[in-house]
Amino acid sequence: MTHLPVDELRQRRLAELADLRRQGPKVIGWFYPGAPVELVRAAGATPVRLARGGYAAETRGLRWLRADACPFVLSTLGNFELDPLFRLVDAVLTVNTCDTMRRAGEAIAHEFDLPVFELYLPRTSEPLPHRVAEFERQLGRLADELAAFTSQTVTEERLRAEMAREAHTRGLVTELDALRGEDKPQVSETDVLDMLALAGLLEPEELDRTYRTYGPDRADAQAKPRLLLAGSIIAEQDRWLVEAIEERADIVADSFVPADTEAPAAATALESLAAYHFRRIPDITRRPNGRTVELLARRARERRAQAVLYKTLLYCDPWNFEVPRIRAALGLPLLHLDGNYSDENRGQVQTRVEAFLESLEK
Amino acid sequence: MTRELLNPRERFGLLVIDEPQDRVPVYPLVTSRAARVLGKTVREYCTDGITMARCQLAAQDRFGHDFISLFSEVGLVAEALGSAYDYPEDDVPMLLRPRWRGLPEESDLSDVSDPSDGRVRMFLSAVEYAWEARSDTVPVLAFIPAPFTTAQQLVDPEEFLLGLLTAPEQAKGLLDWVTRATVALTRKVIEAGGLPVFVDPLASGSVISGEQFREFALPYEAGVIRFCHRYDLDIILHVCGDGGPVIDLLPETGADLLSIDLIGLDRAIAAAGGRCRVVGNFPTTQLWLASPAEVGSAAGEMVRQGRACPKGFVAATGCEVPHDTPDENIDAFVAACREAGTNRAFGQQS
Amino acid sequence: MVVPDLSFDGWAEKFASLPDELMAQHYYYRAQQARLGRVEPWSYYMFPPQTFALYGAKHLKRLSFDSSLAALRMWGFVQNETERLYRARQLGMKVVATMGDLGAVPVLVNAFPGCVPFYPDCTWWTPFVQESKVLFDAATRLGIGDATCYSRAALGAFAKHSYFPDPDLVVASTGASCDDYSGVEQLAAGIAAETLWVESPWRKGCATCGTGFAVEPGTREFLSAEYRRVVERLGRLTGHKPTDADLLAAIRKTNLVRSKTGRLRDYGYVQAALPALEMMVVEFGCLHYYADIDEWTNILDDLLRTCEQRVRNGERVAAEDALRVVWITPPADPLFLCHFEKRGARIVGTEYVINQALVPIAERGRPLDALAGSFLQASLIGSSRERADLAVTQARERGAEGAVISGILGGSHCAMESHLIAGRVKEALGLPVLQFDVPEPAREVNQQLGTRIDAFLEVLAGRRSQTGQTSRTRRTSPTGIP
Repeated sequence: MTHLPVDELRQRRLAELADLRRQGPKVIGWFYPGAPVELVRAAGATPVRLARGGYAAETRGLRWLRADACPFVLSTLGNFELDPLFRLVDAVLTVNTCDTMRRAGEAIAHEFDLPVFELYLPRTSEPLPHRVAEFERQLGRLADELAAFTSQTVTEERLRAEMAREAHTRGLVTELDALRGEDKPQVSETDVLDMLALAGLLEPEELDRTYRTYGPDRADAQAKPRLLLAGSIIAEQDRWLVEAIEERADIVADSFVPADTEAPAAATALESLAAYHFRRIPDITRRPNGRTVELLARRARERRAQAVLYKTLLYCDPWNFEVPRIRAALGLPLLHLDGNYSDENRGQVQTRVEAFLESLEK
Repeated sequence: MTRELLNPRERFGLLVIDEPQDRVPVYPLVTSRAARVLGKTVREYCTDGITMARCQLAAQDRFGHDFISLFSEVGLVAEALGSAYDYPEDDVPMLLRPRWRGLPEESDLSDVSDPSDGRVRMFLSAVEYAWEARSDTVPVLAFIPAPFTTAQQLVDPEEFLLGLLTAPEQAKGLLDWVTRATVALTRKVIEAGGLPVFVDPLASGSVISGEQFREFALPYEAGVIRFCHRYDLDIILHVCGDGGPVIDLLPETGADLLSIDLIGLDRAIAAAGGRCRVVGNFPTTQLWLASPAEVGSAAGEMVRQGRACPKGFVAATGCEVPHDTPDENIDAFVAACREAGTNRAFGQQS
Repeated sequence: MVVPDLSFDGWAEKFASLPDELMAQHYYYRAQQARLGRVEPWSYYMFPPQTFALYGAKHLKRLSFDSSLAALRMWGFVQNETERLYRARQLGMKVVATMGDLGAVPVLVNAFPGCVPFYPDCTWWTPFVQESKVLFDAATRLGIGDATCYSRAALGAFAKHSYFPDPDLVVASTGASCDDYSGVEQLAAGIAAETLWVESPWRKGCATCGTGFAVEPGTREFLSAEYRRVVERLGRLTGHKPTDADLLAAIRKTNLVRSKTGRLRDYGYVQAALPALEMMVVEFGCLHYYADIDEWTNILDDLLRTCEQRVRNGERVAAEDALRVVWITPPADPLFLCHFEKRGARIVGTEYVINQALVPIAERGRPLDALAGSFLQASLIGSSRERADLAVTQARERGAEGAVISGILGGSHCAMESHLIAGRVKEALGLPVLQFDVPEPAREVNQQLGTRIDAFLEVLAGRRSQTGQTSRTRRTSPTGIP
């Protein structure tokens, strides 16, 4: 695929958002998949994903959190001082996908005096009626809070429209992802991550136009070792590893693309939204998380992955703890890389990756 | 050696609370034999506490059995109470001269509340060292001679045995006194971190009759064991030699585990296995002289029989492993007992 | 007058002179054994630290203990818990592992006859008590390595099948709780026969109300529905269907424990009648009562009598001018509490992540709602600021001169909370705060950490001499005890 001009689009979008804010609408940042951006839009605000990463920001974050905090959260705090997109948002939305993210909101509110909207998603994953109902209630609460912030009520009609738009966006991502199933994949992980990054930045229609304009184009694709990439969130400034791997291998599946695109039908939009996000996978942090492990195994099987590249952030317990289990479930050679955003050990990491890929080729 | 699920302390912990283990504990009584592992003489082993402890730790590392055994010979208390011992270079200390020729009078029996003479301090330092080094993963057993065996080393042996017949009350006076000393030493051992094991080889059927055991050994073994039960400790009573005349009586001592020697395992289990765990009883001569394959085969058979013990079983040798026992024989014993004693159902939840 | 503590060797001396009859008075599972018509020898528990040190609890040798017989009884009971759980199974009782919520689900378990709850979470102390990394190594083999909370020992314990009986049921609470332990629960679920997952809801947006956190009705109803599932599952396990009266009876039993613990906290932290180490054991008794709520209640009574007598006699366990600190997050290595006291400090308040186990449960209304309401006072399910304020309140009331936050390298909530909590303490009270991570099991406090602790206490002493403040005027505690 001709690579999406992410940096250019980012710069342009930054200017657009700055303009937008001057006209009144609010810009709300979110961090981790699972944030109900549909609700943010339905409340008249513009959601933007804040997943920059970066070592400078991580180091800056040490002013507020301990060094053994998640590098992503450290860098998130640091980026509120360093990154123009972070500095532009009017508020943030956090979801308790993990306990670290749950607490990140408090740190942000305390240090940067930003309004923080906190969405409680039950960590227990069995979709028992009272749990989904509770989540729906929490979504309703969030809708009210957003409405108070934006002065725009979330209506049934508006929410359904935004859910349709977001479903379309997810559809684009999964459509792109599906092209990786071929023997000579027309799409790379870099393309998919770019797409996910843009999905968190652009309006759905703009994303659609961009996607159509740049469409898959990998005429020179060669058959290379096929990998599944799984693990902690991969932030925008953490892509060097993916790019380095893709010089020698094809990443044909990952743990970032959502499994489902459409929210199930329900009597109300909120009920439908709750049902979708409650059951959303992959999500290794939910308990039990067997569905996510099964999903990864299925993806590996269907995409004929030969090995797993498992990349975790330091202290990312939810992913780090699952290495033996995922190794056993997928039954494939697995290389585990654990680190932060520092690039001091890049050489060492690259050597390990190369050695791993060589072992596959034998 | 492949990693096992449980370490010896965990395994022993389950045994003594009547719970199934991952396998039977395995216990070749590697006592002074441990000196060879570190290239020490037996004299060095028996006279220096740190050496004794380090040899035991090295032996446990080498052979992978389930207990540390701090023991030199049965004269520890008698020496502290005044008997003299000789220390050969390559053998355990031997009684040179008992304190008394004949049974002592009551007036001869001094205060024994703090037995520290002889090699007691050495022994306690061995216990402390081993406890600090390894008690989190391996039980540290400290062998203490039982009163009858000690008494027999304080008096000329023939005079002592004659005295049981001709002056029984005087003999019991001595035994009471020795029991007080043994209890005092036991308390020190407990405070140093050792789990007491009482050895009473001179009370076996090889030396005295069952009736004499009941009158002159059992009450005093029961006394020291009762003292240990104040601490809720699980006590091994080791009576090597002919166990036939005494096996029916041994459970009455209150011992939690019975370490037996020359007696059929099935007979021992029938007599005592409903009340006590049975420890034993592979013939030490066979361990020493047979081939590794023969040792392995016989040990496996022993374990298959021993596992039937209702209260539990420890696969052990009947007595101390002889000094010249080849390493490979001990290895064969341990390996065979582990294999035959494995409980494949352990940890499999229904 | 200061009552001296007792060393490990000191207890050996004292125990030797105790009459056998005393030990024969104290045994566990009284009701169950009464039905059997006998008292099993294994159910006695009043044994000295030497006993448990012999069976692997090496760290007891390094600690300093309270010298009362009530404390000896308590220690014997607590150290005996592993055996007690296995004996429960042997008596035909159901053994239920409750995980993660630290205080609520055992209340439900105790409403069912023949059921005993316990927290595998509490095995986090075991590596320290044994001075051993055995359980950590076992956890590492299953995927949880170093630089994670020491609660990973619980996973090691599950894998070993020898620290508690394989539970008949695991009730694993997760949600607004730490990631480390949630990961432990997930992996333990792969070992346990059956796991019932329960949500610990996020307490959000509740304004502090009086001495507790205001509880949102919707959240309480949600949690109540979760507890209903627990009750249903326990019912299928035991064949018993408890009525509201049964649940209320269990709540009342728990409240009795909590109320006695509250009085002991007063005695310990206000009156200095018990040392910090014993106080920590007392507080954690509110979680699952060390697997026998009736006998634990008796032990609390014994401790209360000891404290009452000490106060009557004008006795304390620390000098009047000891430096006063509040302690936030329990130290995995209990030696640190002894260490601080030996250095002239005294713990006057605690926030040991178990506020939910200390607060009384309402005895009116629907029992499950009441239990849910009490759990929603939990330490970890709300904001760090709320948690900090639990400590600030105590610090203010008791004239604390400093605060200690003990954490664990890699512990997720420690990494996120510590600076926030320290900041809040400084902001609210202007007190110096010492933060440190408890190192892995060791025989003693390492020199580097010892130096930091000494320096911190020097700072407190220096501040005191600058302000001219010595001991606080004794206040009247909520219990009315002067």
